Amino acid sequence: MPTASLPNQRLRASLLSQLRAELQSQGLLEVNTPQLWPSAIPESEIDLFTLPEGHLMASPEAHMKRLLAAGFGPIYQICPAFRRGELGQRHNPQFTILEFYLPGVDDQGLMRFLDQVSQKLFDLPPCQVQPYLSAFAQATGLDYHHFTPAQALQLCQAQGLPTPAGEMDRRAWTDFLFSFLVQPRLGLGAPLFLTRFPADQASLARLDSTDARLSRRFEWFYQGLELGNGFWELADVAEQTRRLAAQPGKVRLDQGFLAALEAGLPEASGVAIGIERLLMALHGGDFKDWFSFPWPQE
Amino acid sequence: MYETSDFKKGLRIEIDGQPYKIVDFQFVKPGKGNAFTRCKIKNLITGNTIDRTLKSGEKVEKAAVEDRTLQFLYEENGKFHFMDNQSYEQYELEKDQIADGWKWLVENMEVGICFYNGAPIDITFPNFTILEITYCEPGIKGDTATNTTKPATLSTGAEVQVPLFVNQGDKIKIDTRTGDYVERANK
Repeated sequence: MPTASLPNQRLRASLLSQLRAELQSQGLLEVNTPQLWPSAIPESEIDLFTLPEGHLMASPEAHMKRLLAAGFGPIYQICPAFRRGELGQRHNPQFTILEFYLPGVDDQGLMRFLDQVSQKLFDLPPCQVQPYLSAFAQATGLDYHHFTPAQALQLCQAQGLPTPAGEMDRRAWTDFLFSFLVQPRLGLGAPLFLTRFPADQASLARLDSTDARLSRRFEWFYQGLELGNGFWELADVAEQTRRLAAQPGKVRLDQGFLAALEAGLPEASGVAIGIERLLMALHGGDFKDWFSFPWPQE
Repeated sequence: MYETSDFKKGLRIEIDGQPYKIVDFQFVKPGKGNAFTRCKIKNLITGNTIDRTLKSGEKVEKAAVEDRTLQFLYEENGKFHFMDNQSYEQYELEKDQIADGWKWLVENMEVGICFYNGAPIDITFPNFTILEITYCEPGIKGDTATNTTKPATLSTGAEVQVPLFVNQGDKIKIDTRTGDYVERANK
């Protein structure tokens, strides 16, 4: 028996056709890029499925940016994404991504666009906005840039939250505190944009021109679920190459992607949204109930 | 050694020199950050349940336990009796060591019994078992596509949720790990 029920499959189909109709009417072109490719963009916290011939794509980002650089204008794609080792109550090693890019738009504009779509299609209340540092401080009482591992440990002990025994650097502590203390409080009642991620979590976003400790990366939350991740895209080749060089080197770097950046990525913002997470946030149920055949968890 | 990616409910691991069983676990990971596995683990000797968090990729030892297949004989006064079919030696487990397992136990059933220092401490079932429904509301024909279920009582006395089309007297296949109905098994 499939896991997702027929009513859930219908809700999924209806959501996808609504999204396609809306994005098309807003002038975005649906595109199709490879899911299997000989090279990729390495990211330290994403483990790619690797075949002798190449990698299964963890997101369509590299190829969609090549289309942007080639002047395709506003584009979107709905496609499978593959991430090794991600399996749990909110994760499946294969899931569905909606990814889209708006040229000539910054992260603020992209959030406004997404807010309008979510109000119109999903009948959600207007999205709230909170900077990352503020949400982090509110939930933990800690200053993101200055807390010490000892303070983090003390906080977890006070909260009765068991902590890992092994070595934890500041970044690991940040992710730990975020996962267990910050994220469950985000987007309850109304969706929330968590904005201006710290620069050490900028990923492929540009840094904030007014405060170099921050970046123009945001995430979208609803009902404590992370639904999407967006960037005002980094277009600086030198900076991009430097960030990629800092990633561990198991992955063959996509030179076509770097070449596209060199040729010139237009000013653009882009976002990736997890379709099954969105369905779960909108309609409830377990995460796996939105997959016809979720990865087996014995 | 196990890695956190090997974790599943029922896996037996060693923590602080003691054998534990994973009761439940939660995988968390910010989109572009470190992953953690938080688990609820039950001490197989004391029965105490504790909460632990591990960094994903962390390794833990396998619990130093021995698994044997025994046959269930009978239950008497809250003690469950099993026999080793090779040595004919008999062992007993307490009711709280069986936990929810009474739901699937029928006489002569072969189950896995876990031994630690020569003493039986835990039971594992085959992933699937077939049991007869002794009571449920009459079935509704053709209703195979909706998620609606009804309660059904099994020959062991356990109650499970089944689809509407299932009838009293049907034999059904059950996933013992989740207690979920899988399919009808009338033959």
